Parts: sequence; C-alpha cells; structure tokens
Amino acid sequence: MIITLTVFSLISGLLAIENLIWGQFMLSRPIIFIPLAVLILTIFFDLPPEFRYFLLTGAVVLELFYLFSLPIGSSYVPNQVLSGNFLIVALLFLKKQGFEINGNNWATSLVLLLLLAILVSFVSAYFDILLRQFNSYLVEYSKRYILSGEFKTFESVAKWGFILFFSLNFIQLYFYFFLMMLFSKQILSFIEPGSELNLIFVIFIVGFVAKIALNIFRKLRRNDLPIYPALLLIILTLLSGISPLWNLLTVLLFIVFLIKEGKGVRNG
Amino acid sequence: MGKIGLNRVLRKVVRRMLSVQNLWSYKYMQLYGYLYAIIPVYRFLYGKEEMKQRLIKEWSYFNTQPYMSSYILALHSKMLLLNEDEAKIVSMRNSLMAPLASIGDSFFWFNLRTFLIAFCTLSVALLVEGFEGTVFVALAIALAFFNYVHFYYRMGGFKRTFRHGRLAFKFTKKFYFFEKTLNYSSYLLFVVSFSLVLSKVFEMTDVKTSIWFYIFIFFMITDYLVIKYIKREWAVFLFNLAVAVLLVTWGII
Repeated sequence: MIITLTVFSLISGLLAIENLIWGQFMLSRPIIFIPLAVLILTIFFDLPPEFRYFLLTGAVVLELFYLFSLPIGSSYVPNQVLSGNFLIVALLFLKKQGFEINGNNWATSLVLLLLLAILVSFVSAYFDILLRQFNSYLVEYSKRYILSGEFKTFESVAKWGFILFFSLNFIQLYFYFFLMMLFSKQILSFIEPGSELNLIFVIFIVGFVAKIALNIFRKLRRNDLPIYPALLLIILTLLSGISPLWNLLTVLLFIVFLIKEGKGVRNG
Repeated sequence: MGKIGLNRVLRKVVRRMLSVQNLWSYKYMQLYGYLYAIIPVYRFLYGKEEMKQRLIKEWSYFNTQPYMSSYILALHSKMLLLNEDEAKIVSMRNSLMAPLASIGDSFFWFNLRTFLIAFCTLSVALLVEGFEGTVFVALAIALAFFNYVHFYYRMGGFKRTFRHGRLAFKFTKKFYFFEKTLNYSSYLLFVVSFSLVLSKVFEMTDVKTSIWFYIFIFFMITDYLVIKYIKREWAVFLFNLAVAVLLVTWGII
C-alpha cells in the first residue's frame, strides 16, 4: 500500500502543479484524472467493475461539486486534485482491508468517502492560503536580486515555486491517508449496517443531485436565453418520450429558467 | 540582434508564460511569473544597468486570467522592441489586465470549462449505460477540443498580437456566438447526463421509479426554497439528510 500511496502522492503533486502553476491543460480535473487512473488500475491491477463504477461516480460528483469554484483572483478554491487522489487511495486501502461494495452499502460508502474527500479539499485549501502568504515574502525577497542586477538568481527563484507547491501536495496526501488509516475500523463499521442506512443515503444522493442540478442550471442561465426555441425543444422532447426522467428534468429546468431571479450570465 | 536570436527569445517567453501563475502571492499576485516570462526579452535588448532600471519600474502587482496573459506579454515584448518608455509599458499592462481577465474568466473558466465538464459527465454517464470502451475516447476528444481552443488563444494570441503590434483579440459576433453555443450545449449535456445517471441509480433500488420522480421534484422545489430564503449551502445538505432519515424511519419508503 505504501508504494501505491507514494505513486498517488507523486501524481497529486504533479497534477497540483499542472492545476495552478504550469499549463492548466485541465488534466487535473477530477473528471479527467480519475477515469484515467481507473483505466490504468483496470489494465494493470484488474480493478473490479463495482470499484470502477464507484470511482467514476465519485469523479462526477466531485467535479460537479467544484464546478463553480472558479480560480478568480484571490478566491478560496478547494483543492480538488487532493480530494480526487484521496478518494482513490482511500478506496484502494479499504479494498485491501477486505471491503466489498454491494447493493446494501454502495450509497453509504459513496457518501462517506466523498464527504471525507470534500473535507480534505477544504482543509488543504487553508494550506494553499498559507503557501500564498509565504510566496509574498519569497517574491519580496527576490526583488533584491533585481536591485543588485543578479538576474540569473532572480530566475532561479522560480524553481522554489514548483518545489514548495509539489512538496505541499505530496506530503498532504500522506498526512490525510494516515489520518484515515487511524479511523479505518470506525469507517468500515459505519458502512457495514444494512440496507436501511443505504436507502437513507440513496435519498440523500438524490437530494444532492437535485441541488447540484439546480445550481448548474441557475448559474448557466443567460439573460438572452431564447425562451421560445427552448419551449419548442421541450415540447419535442416530451413528445418523443425518450425517458420519463429526461422529460421531468427538462420541464423542471425550464421552470428554473423562467424564474426571474438573479442576473444570469451576460454577454461574456 | 538577428531575427533568429529574436525568435529564440520569443519561444522562450512562450514557454515561460505557461508558468505565469508560479509563486502566486496575495501581495503581488502573478507578478513573479510575469517577470520571469518577460526577462529573456530584456536580456536580449538591454545591458545590465538599463535592464535593472526598467525592471524595477515593473514592480507592482499583476493579475489576469492565465491564458490571456499571453496577449499582454506579446504587446510588452513588441513595445520593448520598439524601445518604448517603461512607464508607457506599465500603463498598458495595468490597463489591459482587468478587461482581459474579465473576458478570459467568462469564456475559459465559465463557458469552455463547463462545456468540457458537461461533455465528460455525459461520457461517464454513458459508461453506466454500458458503453465502456468509448468513454476514454470521448474524454480524450473533450480534452483535445479544450486544449485546441486554449492554445488557439494562448499561443496563437501571442503570435498574432506580436506580429500586428496591437491586441489581436476581437470581441466579435462570431466569438459571442461560440460562447453562447458552448453555454447551451453544456445545458443540454447536463440534462442528458443527469437523466441517464439518475435512472440507473433508481433501477438499483427496490423502490418504484415513479416514487423517485416525486422525491426528485420535492427536492428540486425545497432546495430552491432553502437556497432562496436561508442562503446557506450547508443548510440544503442538512435539510436533504433530515428528509431522507424521516422518509425511511417513518416507513414512507
């Protein structure tokens, strides 16, 4: 397990760099890197299908949860890279402890592990804030190299940005993982109880999805939404009867669009 | 100061502008990453003393959308080549960073990224329906599309702006139409993905699908009311959990 943890800590550090410092090619989005990890784990380690679906569902939920946490200016953005990697290593660890996903515990385990992953992302955001404050001193310090004309040394400060950020994310995954290991027995005993608790969490997931759907469609709403073409589309969808849920969602979302509240998105 | 030497320097700037967010700090924001990217041009054009005099005038906070910083860096390089006054360059930098950040945040973070996520969500939802092999291809296509647009504006933007010597970004009708299309497509893709995933989840329980419809409608309405009146995100989750516990313990489901 320690090798797996080290590999995912390395991935976590590299993806964190890609997410904030270098590139931003979107490789570090949970919806991208978790399916990639699932693919590699399936090919090389024969990950069972129920674990695959679990991780992919987790990737979607995490992604949608962080969808509107936009990295604008000095905004507080939860660390989704760490939370995704934590979800993977936590599940692999529980699998090693003999944990099995079945019809009676999938919702409980999904909710519990996702809550832990989300908690990790919020806690690590505080470490990011501390690092950004430390960066202020580092940048201030590098000014002296410009004043003294040592431009090579000024440029060499850049590598510290990479080293610090990588180390912070690398160490944190270890830390959260060992913390989770301490409470693994409690986690497993919480997941154990029968289908009643599982049903509660299925209903909770439905509520969670409803909330996320509401959030997405209210925020994506534009002022210049073509109401009539949208209405036509809804009528056509209803008539085609693709799926009852599709119909339900389309009507509900149309109602959300009609609610004259908030400003919506303007023209860019 | 040959053309080959200049091209090499510009390639270095383009490489370094990928790390414009390096050492992001609350006091100076992207200043370090920006100076790190532009320094090769100064070194190419000026001696140590003049470089020092000029760079120290640049020492004020800088922040924009990382992809859009390429336009400012290109103009900065061009102005340096034309031997413009440093005060004029700083003024250009400061006046452009906010409008470009606003366009970049709206287009890249809000619309293009949301479209990428909506497309990927649909891909994963299709996996639940049994299309296992195609999912990874779909994810690769989505990523390739995002990065094509990203590089078109980031790298291409640098090249075009440097060549013309003016901001080569037009807020045209075509651009606006593209942004709007992304927005509506994301909306549709999310509708389809939610329908697919939820219907699969409901199939996995013993409860009748029609009951789930009512529960979903109930949550949509109550969540909307909780957000509107209580205005706390966590209150929605607590409320949903309480409803779930009540529905199961009272034996309604």
